[in-house]
Amino acid sequence: MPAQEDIPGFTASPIAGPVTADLPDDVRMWLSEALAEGEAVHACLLADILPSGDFGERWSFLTNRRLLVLAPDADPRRAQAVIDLPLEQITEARQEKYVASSALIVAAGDRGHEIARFSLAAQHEAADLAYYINEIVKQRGEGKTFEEVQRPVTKRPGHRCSTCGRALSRWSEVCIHCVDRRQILVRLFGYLMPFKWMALLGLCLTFTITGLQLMPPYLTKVLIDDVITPGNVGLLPVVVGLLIGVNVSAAVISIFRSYIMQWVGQRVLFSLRVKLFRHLQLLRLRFYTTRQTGRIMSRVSSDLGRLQYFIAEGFQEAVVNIATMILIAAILLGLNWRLFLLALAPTPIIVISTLIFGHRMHMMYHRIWRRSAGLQAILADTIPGIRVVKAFAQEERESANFEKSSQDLFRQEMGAIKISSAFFPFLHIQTTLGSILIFGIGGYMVMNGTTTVGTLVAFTSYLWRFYGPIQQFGRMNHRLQHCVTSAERVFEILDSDPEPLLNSGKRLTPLRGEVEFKGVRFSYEPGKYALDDITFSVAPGEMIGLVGPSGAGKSTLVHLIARFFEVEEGEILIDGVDVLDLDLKWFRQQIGVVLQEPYLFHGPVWSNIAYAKPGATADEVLVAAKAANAHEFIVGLPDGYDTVIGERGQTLSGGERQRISIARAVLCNPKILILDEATASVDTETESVIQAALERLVENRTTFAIAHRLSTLRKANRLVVLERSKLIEIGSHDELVSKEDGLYARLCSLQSEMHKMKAI
Amino acid sequence: MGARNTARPGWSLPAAARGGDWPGRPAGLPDTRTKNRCDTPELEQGWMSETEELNTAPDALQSDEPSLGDASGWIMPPDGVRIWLDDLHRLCVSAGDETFEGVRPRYAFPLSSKCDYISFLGEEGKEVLLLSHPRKLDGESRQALRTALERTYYTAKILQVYDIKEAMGVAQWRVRTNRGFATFEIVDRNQHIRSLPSERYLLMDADGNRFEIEDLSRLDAHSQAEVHHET
Repeated sequence: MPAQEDIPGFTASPIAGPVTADLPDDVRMWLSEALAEGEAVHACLLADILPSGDFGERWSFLTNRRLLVLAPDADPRRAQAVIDLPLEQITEARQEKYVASSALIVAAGDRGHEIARFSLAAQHEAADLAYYINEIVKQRGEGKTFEEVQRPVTKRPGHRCSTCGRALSRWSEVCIHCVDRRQILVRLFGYLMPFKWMALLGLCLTFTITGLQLMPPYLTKVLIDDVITPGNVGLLPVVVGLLIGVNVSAAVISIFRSYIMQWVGQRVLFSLRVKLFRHLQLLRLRFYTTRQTGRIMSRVSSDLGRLQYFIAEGFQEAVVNIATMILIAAILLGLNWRLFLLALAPTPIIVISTLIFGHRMHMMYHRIWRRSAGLQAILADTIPGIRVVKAFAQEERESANFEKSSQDLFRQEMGAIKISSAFFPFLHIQTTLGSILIFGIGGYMVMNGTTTVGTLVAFTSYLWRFYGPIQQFGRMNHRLQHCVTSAERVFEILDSDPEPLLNSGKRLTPLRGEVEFKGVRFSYEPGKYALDDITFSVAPGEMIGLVGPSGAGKSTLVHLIARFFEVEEGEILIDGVDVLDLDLKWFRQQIGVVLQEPYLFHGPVWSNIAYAKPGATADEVLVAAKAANAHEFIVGLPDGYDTVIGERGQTLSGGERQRISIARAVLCNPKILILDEATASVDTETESVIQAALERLVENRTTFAIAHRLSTLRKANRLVVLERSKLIEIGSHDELVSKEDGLYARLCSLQSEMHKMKAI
Repeated sequence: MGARNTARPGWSLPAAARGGDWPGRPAGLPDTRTKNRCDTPELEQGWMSETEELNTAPDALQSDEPSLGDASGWIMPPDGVRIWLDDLHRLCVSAGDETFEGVRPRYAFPLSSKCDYISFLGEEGKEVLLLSHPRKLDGESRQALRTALERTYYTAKILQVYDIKEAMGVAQWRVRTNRGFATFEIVDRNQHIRSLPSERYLLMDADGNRFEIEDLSRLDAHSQAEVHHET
């Protein structure tokens, strides 16, 4: 995929208009012929599907006078205008979204024109072009000129690299094509620096061991040639003693070396793990909403494990292998250069076959991993759903499904086994043949008297040690790739922008709790606003009920108040100060949040209540629990406030968990309170208990409450009605109910009908 | 990739469209803009046979056994249904006295028996009509519906896979399709390569564009090996 930084959408600087600077030369040439004097291009869109459905290109240009669509001619220097619509004739633009493509339709008078048909890659630019055209039409009606209409700025979709535009991996924000892999390794070694002396000591010991391990073959040579053959009895204990000493020393040093390197590896791992987790805590919510939890967790576990291996072992292995190879090559050369040249013969085969094998096995293991993951998915699907399986008597079918996937995995495993079973004997035969060759020719040389038996034995002994590192190098490349990949994943987290929690900002003391939305726009994905032009203000202590269909933007609105996400256009003011200028940590402490699905941590009840205020006294915890109508059920538990709540609070009922979460919100005594469907998942009886607790909680606090059951918003001072990302109604219950054709009135009447039906 | 291409948005398909600039494009391959056009796309193939239609008839409704309920009144037979594209490029459907403008057609079973039931969604995504047996519509309506469905389910059929290169979990496919040459990226094999019966594969690229291998066993040996490696 190419660079997109100069997307000709809406992001360029003017030459013959605000966007033409980044257009390809041929398109600029077409434009220079097509545009009239004083005409400037303000937006353009490259469509990549022709009306016939074939891939092809068409360029749409919005100028200050018209909407022009150019299609390339057979002669690439020319293009023909296939659509040419004066701006004043255009009445509407709309994007038709299909399953896997899109089209831009522009209405002029009574006719619609398909301006562009395009793949989903261009949908964001198209959405903004449609928006731009509609704004021009709308503001023209208000008497504004073309130039007065603000051009939207298309954001690059988050799944593509901001530098080169290539697709990013699911679990990564780092583009491997733009990242410097050498830099990653250098950076990785940076984590070794605090322990450099220990690492150096480990390296020295490794070299010492390597040196010691090279001695026995030479001593064997001395033993054969200088002791056994000439019958030198006096030298025998010395050489044997040296052999014992060398081997024992190597073993003892190995123990120290292993301990030291493990220590270094664990220390680096420890510091990286802590740093990574700390950073994860500070990352923006958007980081988590776009990634699977399991994948993030795997970075803290398996990716870090790989790094530890590389730092502690892999790097040294590489250095030692290189050093061993050079040393042994020098020794072999010194022992007999002719035999050495002969010994090199199988080396290219060993290297090449190891590389090919490594690559094939890598692919095979990926396939096995995918099948294995598929099998896991079946387990994860079926075991928790065993009641449903049994209820519908589908045991046989599920077993057959599992067997089919298992067979597939079995086939892949056997494929890998076939290759690896064949490879290692193949490799062994290569090295054995090399040794046999050396024995053959070397034996002949011994018989000729051109070399000694001891030299031949030492040579073959060294030869085995020479082939070992060569084979390891083939595998090392694969391991290095894995390590760099893991490092990238870890650094991706560490490099992701954290929330400015630690940055200083304004603290408003006392905080009154006035909240004002001014033209707020926000989107999770480009071209599709989750909130569009939201403007309203809330007085301190006021309770606002947020109403609207699913997907209207209610939760997004409260997330923006809590600054889980940041507004793209417009601003949110807290007591007249932009929320972005506030000290985030302080501000979050002023907000209490009660969610539909309360999240409790593993631990005692009291620590969950005191989560937002770790230093809270027992009195405070009791008061908060009492206010949340939670005290009675807590003291009824066998261990009272010391009862350990299981993972995610599964030992408690939904209503109990919710009351604890309300107590948690009460304890931090927030000035602004957010209730996001707090009573949606509890029964009517529990709801009334929770509702009573909430009513106490909202007093004197600015409250934003989301609820589908409108009855739960009866205490709200005003209601904000959202529909399709826009604020469509605002007012008190009575005011909104009186609007007969209003959405709120409609929802109310629907719900009252449902209540009547329930009553029957 | 030529320098000029680096200035284009959403380049996976556009790159393919500008055949000459396609990286590593095998020499001598035909120009996309004039060839490889498929005039009768998937709709004909997906149209159900009479036998299949008979199989879907709810015979159980005739018996004394408990039934699922009466589908008439909800599932609309094609008699009296008219479909057309208006001057504003909107799909319109009328049934009885009612007319719905600007509707979006959706197969109820796009991957299994795709032409059996077609749902028409209104502006807010609510179904305004569920049509059965669209094959029995009048010619004009059938043509309008076919055009709309072809657009809705725009999917290029892969005819040849040149290579699939993977880096850090992103697989880049270079293929020849019935719509021309294309280079696209798949970011999650597990989710975005869907294996269907009869060696059929549905692929979704990083942007959500769709590609289909109708029958892998009909592709050349190299293409098959590449796909097998990847799936």
